[in-house]
Amino acid sequence: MTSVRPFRCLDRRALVTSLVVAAWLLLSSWFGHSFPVGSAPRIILGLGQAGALAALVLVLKHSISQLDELEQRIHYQALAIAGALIATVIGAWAFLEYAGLPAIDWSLYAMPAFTVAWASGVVAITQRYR
Amino acid sequence: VKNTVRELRAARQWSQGDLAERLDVSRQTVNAIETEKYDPSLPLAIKIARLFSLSVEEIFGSAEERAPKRRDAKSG
Repeated sequence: MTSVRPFRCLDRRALVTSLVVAAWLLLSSWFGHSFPVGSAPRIILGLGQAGALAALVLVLKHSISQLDELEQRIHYQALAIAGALIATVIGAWAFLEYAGLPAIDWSLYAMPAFTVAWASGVVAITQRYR
Repeated sequence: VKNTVRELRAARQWSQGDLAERLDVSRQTVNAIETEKYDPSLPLAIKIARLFSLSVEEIFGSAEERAPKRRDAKSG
């Protein structure tokens, strides 16, 4: 075993799943626009997107569970911080929207922002244990 | 929590990597335990204790907490 490498959970399986899910989300979004809002095909595509995200979460959870206990701790702390941060930002922005600021479609930004916050958290927390 | 992992490891002339290998954890985890930045889980603490043939209390805890155990061991 070598030094702590929490990002080694991003193994081939996790990376391939991430890419497939990302491609599926983009393609189904693009394809979904050819159907009217509220139509059965669009709802089915939406359910497919939700299912793909759930599958990605399960694969990442499995990958993290293969890490040693300190690396797992780093990830779970980073996930907790990222979740709290994104929830706070979205909640805070809702108040600002009431105050007149422009509405933001968080379905576009929430996942990328969460991923960046998670990765940043892992990097920052790893420094604490060096 | 204070511990004597570094002393026990050094007495056996093991590197952090050697101990990490025996415990199936990363070297950084061993370093974090030795520098008391990270308290291991109970299963890992038991694994460490078994590796050194000591009790968890003899390895982890303050010097005051560990001292009576050692006295008991000597008197027993």
